[in-house]
Amino acid sequence: MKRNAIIAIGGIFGAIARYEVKTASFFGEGWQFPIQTFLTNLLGCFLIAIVLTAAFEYLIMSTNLRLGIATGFLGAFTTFSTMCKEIYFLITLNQCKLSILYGMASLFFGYIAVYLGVILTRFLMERLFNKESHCILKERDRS
Amino acid sequence: MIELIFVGIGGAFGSLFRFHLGNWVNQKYAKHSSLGTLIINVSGAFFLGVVVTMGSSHSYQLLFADGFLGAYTTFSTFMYETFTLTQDGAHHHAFRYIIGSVVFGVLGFGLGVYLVSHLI
Repeated sequence: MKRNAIIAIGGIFGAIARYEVKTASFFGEGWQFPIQTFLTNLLGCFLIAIVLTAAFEYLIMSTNLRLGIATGFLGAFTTFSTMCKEIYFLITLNQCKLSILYGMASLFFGYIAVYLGVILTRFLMERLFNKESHCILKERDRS
Repeated sequence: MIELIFVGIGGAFGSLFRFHLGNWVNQKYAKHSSLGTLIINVSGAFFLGVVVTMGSSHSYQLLFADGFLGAYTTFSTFMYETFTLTQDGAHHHAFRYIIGSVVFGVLGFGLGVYLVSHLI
């Protein structure tokens, strides 16, 4: 029950943060490239990699804190359905090249963002805090 | 302010729904570690197609599209799972997973749009 409350609170703030980015005006105003969703998703990927690496490999986080931040906040902050919507509408606007570019860029840079988050966290933990990795990636549960 | 309340309520339920459905699927089909997120993301894209095409009021869109379905589907977990697959050496599986998710997500969204605009 407590766990549900923690995830729900994370989800409230994650969804609101995403909505705020969506409604903020950006330098990309007037572009057809959906820059808001793109940047939201990349930032979320980078942050979830930091949180989950710290939690699964260095065990420095309680399960509830991990669920609140990763499953609740970051899970709700990033979105897959909106990305599919944007790709679909780019295709219907005859912007096939741009839609493929957007999809591919999201996947490619999303992966790079996770990679950077993992590497950065491992570096900080091992060099600065002298923590040892427990590499228990196989035991990860839902996040 | 009222807008944020709608988005927040949708976000709370979307996150909880994702957590419990994902857990349930992953316990049932433990062999396929990323199946839960795949089902969640593709079904969320389909329902977003339905919700967006049905139109109606602004607050309804905030609650279901920006709030619930935006939070129900997730990109960060999806990419993190892809990363762990490549770490385990399952590069082909990872590639199929990301391309399949996006292709079926876009098709699912299109199916939602089609069903609402042609059948209702």
